[in-house]
Amino acid sequence: MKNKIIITLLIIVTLLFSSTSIVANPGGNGDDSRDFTCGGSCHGDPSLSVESDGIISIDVKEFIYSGTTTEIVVNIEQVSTSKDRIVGIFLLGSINGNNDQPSDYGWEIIQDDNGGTSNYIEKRASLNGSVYASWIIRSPTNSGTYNLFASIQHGIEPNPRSLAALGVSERHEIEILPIPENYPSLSESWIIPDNREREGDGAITVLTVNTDKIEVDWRLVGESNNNVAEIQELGIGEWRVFLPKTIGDAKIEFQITTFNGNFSVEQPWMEIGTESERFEGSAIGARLQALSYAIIIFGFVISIQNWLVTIDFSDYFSKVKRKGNSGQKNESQRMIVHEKYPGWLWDSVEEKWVPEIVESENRSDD
Amino acid sequence: MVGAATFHAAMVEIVIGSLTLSTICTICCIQNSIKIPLGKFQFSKKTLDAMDKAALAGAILGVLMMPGAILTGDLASMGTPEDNILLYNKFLYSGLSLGFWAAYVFCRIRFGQELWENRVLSIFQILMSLAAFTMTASVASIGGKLVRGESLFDILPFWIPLDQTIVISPGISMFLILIGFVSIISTLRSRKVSLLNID
Repeated sequence: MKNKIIITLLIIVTLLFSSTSIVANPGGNGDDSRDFTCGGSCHGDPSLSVESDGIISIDVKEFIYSGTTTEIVVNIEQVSTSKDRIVGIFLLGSINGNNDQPSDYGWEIIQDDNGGTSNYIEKRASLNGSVYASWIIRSPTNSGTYNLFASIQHGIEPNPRSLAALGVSERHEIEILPIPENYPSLSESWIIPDNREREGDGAITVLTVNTDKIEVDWRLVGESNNNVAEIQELGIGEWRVFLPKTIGDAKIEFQITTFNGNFSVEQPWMEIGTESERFEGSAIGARLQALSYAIIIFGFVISIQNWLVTIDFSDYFSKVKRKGNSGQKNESQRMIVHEKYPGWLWDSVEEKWVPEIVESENRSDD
Repeated sequence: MVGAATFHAAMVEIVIGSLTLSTICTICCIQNSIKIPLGKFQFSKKTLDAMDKAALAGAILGVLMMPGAILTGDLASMGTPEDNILLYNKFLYSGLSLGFWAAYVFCRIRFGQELWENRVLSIFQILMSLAAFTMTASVASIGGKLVRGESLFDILPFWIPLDQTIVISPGISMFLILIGFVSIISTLRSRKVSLLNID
């Protein structure tokens, strides 16, 4: 009894200790538009964070015309991460802690490195501890000096105190200049579609301003050879660009060059995929399918059991039946008289010969 | 006002608890037909009888509460099966779980306690309860995935493919329901014949 109690307690203690320790978001938080407080509130506390060893740099033009698109690249080198190597990267307009997203300072994110429009994205670092992220952003419409920061947060290994590593880049100043007259650029109302529909020709519509011609180069992600896309002019500043459709998670990169006379501006490389296959389930379909599964399984199980009864359970059933209902009558049927062996009876249940006298004595005892 | 999510949580706890008890007791009932070599773990006849009754009571309670858990889960869910494969699979696995547990209860009531004295049928009953419990645990695991983004199934070295599903049209589902009913009725009718033959 004492041993049983000890074994039970050991099992309970083992189960309790087998649960994982509580850590903030070890698998990442997911891409989203977030203030720096997302990292600051959880990880800003010195007792919950350590300084990241990653070296962060921002690569962007120092002068940008207002309202035009440009690419910002954030490079992180020599970062030591946890086993899953996830690094969360912020693009920030300041490091105030709140209201510090680029959009709070007039920037507009057109595309992040994961294909969305978030200022916080998660990427996986390479084995040598480097990771980069890029954003296509539209500059503020008001000229002046603007700041951009990059911040990172990630796990570390070993990490016995479950701390998060936090790093912030130096301030990067960008001069926004007034846009020259007739400068060919993408329209402020144009946003890159997330994906193209599976149906159709895979073309996208591009809106431009001060542009009399556009050219579009495209390539598969990871390839170096560029291809020229077919263009159709729909109206003033409205173009239809035919890009090949992709399958699954594959994406293609494309670069638009806007022309106004002989003057041309190369826009940053952007990427686009094709909508994945749509799930075509319905609520009523799910309910009916579940009910059909339940009934089919029920029928299948009882039919299997019926089969088991007929092939193996028959002896058991006849035995029970004899014991329960038939009693003496079945007992007499159990003993078989054989002409060749007078004075002996064959017990069909026990499968042995029994002397007739002993059997009749047994019956009289009953 | 108490929301559907609260009712769902309560019902799921009852269902999972009673079906877990039922599964454990069912596994122990194998001792009725197969002697285990470890003397310390051998239960008395009285204990095994109690376990059989507990297994049956747990399964009946689980089967009765399961439709309520499915209904409240349907009402409490944030999305719909139309746009969420996990939610769609939750319905399907609920159906499988209900089918297995209903069959478990039916078979146990059909043959009575003597079922455990037959080795083949008792092993079949245990396998049925294990399959049923796996389906039930899968449903609960999907719930964990939907609400918390993780489940205890994550620590298993394999993963039941819950992010893929097979969608059949409602018309075909209705046809399957009809076929299922017909096969159940014909199976039960043929059983009478086979028992007559045996007698």
